[in-house]
Amino acid sequence: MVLAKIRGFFNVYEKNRGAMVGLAVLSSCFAVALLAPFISPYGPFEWAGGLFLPPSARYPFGTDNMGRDVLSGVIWGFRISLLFGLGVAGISLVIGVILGAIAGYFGGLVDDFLSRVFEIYMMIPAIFLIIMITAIFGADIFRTMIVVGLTVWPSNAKITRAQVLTLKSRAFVQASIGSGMSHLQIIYTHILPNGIQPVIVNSTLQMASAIITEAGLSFLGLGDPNQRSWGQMLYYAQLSVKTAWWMAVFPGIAIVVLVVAFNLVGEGISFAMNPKLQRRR
Amino acid sequence: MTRYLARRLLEIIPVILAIVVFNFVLIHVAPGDPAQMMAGEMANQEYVQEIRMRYGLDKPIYVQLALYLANILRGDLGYSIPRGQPVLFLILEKIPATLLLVISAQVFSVIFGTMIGVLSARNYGSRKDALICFSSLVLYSTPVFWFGLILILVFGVGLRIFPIFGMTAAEKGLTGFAYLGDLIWHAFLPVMTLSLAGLAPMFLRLARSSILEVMKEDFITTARAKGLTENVVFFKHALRNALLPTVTQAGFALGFVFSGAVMTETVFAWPGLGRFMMDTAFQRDYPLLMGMFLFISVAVVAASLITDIVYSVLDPRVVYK
Repeated sequence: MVLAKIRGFFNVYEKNRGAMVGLAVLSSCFAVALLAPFISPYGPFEWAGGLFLPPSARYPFGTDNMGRDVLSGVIWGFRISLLFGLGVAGISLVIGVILGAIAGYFGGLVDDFLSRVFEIYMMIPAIFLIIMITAIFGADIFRTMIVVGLTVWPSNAKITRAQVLTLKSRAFVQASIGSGMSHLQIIYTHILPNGIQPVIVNSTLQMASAIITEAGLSFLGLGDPNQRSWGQMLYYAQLSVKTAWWMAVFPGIAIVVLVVAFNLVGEGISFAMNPKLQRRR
Repeated sequence: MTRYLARRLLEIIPVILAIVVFNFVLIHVAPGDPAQMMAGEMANQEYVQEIRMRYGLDKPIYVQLALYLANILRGDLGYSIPRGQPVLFLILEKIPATLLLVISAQVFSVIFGTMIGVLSARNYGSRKDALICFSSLVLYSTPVFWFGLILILVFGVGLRIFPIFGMTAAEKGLTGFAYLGDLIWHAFLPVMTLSLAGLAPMFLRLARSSILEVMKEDFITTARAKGLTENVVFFKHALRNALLPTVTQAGFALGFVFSGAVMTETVFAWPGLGRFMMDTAFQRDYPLLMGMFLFISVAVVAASLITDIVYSVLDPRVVYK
């Protein structure tokens, strides 16, 4: 049954051209990230042979202020951005789904309390929080990933809660409550598999925005100095914007391409999973 | 209505409390002496001692929290040693520049984004619509700071038609209209950056999707059945209803706009709160940093409260409880 469902999903998904392009681009990005050591001409921090060399056959994207190859930086940057995006979305998914499911399933006072917590959390301007924490504790990519993950989960929680609330009243869930299944079993086997779709869509979008957040923090000089991320490359690009345009252009294009791909895939999934949207066509 | 207002006002108390407590926890979790942290790294021992006394840092933790809260409620956000000024004063000094940037960008984005969104929705399914959707997706996916950098490259470094940093050419000592013109000239690129990369596309997509949603409603069918022209149906019936979500979004997006403003101000050396926050972060001026976090959080919460109230006035279907 699960297989049929997935096949049905793909039948709709593959009709959406934008979503298919997004998927192709995204897969290529993952491939580049995995194959970085083999396809990158230089190491991320390696001296490539000259400072501020403009794009040429030897250095397609030029070299930077420390004589590092920009193309190699862009290639290795895929690893950092994708890992960061996956990490943030993963943390957010786990916390959001657990708390959202608890709120929706048990209702009453538990729900009132948790819903209030979600709302309070959503109002806190995350970027300032992250800047403050990074300033106090220092920059480390894994710590930043955890902090960002800890600030973005409420949207997943709210979506899960709403899904659980609708599913809970459905006959098949009521039947399993009547048949004496435990709460955990019901949530795990009946509610989550049927209600997880919008959370997956949201996770895709969260990966996209996490990648932008990481780039932004590194650009501000709050990134991990030991990782040559796209944001860090742009931080140096800003300092030499008058001499080396190539340092600013290429890492930025990489960010936009990756984020657009994530957004296209997210839209495609939500389209393929939502019969209401399909009818509008 | 009064009861509704009172209830909403009461609701923001836990939010502010949560932020204050968070700051408090951070002070204690951070490595080193909390008193030193609250005084700032550059403070001398006497001042650290004074802070320890004032905040009761040698007393039990709940007394400390109460004293911390009491000081903040009195409007005392601390004192910045490196700058020799109270934190609140420093923040208020930087607010106008940020507000100028944020409000201009917000107004431009709502108007421009909605107009293009209407255009897109009216041409639903056409090639024009597809092009608008794709461009808005790309702009929406573009980091604000990179977009600013590219604008600087093209219009500042390449074409040399716009200044690339600062808010005014102070050295010229302009006044009156010349000053205003200079200000607009300086603000143009930053406002465009903040609007086009993220904000305007957001309002565009919102307007488009809510118009498409409203056009399926029964009252639209009724209006058409009455024999009204398509233009009257669209502008008098559909658009007014479709713009309600835009009002909500304009208020709730404030946090998003503020974070974009930090980036924009950094790229363009715009002398506002965002850039100030970054300088502060590198100087480890913790009292100032925490004061700013609290201040901005309260601003965001207040904006969402005002949005709720405006919305309930605009939409008669909302019932005050």
